Amino acid sequence: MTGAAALSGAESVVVTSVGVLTPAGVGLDALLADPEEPQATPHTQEFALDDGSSFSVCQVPVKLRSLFQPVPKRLARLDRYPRLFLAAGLLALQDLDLSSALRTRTGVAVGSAFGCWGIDEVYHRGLVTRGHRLSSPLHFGYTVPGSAAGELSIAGTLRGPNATWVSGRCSGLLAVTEGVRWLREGRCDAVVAGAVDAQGAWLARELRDAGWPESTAGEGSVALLLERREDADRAGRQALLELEEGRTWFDTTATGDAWSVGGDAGSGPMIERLGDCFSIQPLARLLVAGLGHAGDRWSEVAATGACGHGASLRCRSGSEK
Amino acid sequence: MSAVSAEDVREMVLDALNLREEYDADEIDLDGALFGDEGLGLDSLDALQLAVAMEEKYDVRVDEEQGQEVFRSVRSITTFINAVGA
Repeated sequence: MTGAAALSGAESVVVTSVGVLTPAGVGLDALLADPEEPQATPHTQEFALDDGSSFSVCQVPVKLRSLFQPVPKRLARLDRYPRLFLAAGLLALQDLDLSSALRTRTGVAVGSAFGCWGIDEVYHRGLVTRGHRLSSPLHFGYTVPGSAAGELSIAGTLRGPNATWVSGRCSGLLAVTEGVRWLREGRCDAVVAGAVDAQGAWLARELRDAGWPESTAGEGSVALLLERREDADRAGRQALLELEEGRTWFDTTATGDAWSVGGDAGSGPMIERLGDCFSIQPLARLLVAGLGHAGDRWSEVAATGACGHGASLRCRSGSEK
Repeated sequence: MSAVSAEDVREMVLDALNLREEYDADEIDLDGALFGDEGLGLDSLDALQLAVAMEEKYDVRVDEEQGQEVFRSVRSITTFINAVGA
């Protein structure tokens, strides 16, 4: 379908592929696993802090080389923030054999609670302590929140619109909501939309100072391939989930991050053990709700970021209603 | 400055280029190529990053015309640091 022909706001948008990395492991199976299974224990990582103490958080162990062959050697040096979303995005795209024509009209929409703050701190600390001449040229390239979306567009040769939201816990919901709008407005024919948050010593230190218990904060990445249902049907790709835009809002009286589930979202088996994965959590909950049971019931997840932005998204299982 | 070992330099390369997520130290051959298809696939930005790391850690500067030879392998970097920093 070309953009000019796709201006009906009522068209159904579906998820046809998913890439997920959480401290539970790689893939949906890990997220949906029975938490009583020994191998389902979330991975934790202890970070050495600059005052000599340490703090542990839930982390995703991932080597790109173990997931994809061949991997361009340049990607071995990626900062963790773009690395996690690139891995989730490529997982969502692998085995789909998307045509080059579709890739030309595939967008990327990414949300992140913290964005690239970790590498920002590392780079600017170096700039202040060592001066301009010895500041890191490698780190500088990742001091933009759009690096995660950009790296996926480059690696996947995806040439549609590309945007990033860094707005606290609701960021992933905002990104997916925008991806749904892009499709309904005909701006592109597919969107890889999702969320990523990466841990590092910088965040571990902040969480410790804020009084968080160890191992309750996590990281991860979720990437959803969104398409209009008729396009997915035509290409023979199964709809896993159907999505519906909820609300987006800005509440200047909001005082902190919050999120909630409604409808039939229920509680996931593994998700309770992942720690707080920030922007990942609402999307992971949406996946668990939509994929965890069949039926015609809508589930809704809503979240508000610390700055007052909020979004909600609804889903149900993807079989034709 | 006491002599620097190739293993120390390999650790510097791993840290400076953010390679620890993908590589273990013993996967990097001390005499293997760093640039090009056969090696780690480093590029000019990585060379600049390595030059910054060498100056910061070992207080040695690499001139532009020396770069190609110095950055050939971990071993050649080690040789340069020990020669210039001695």
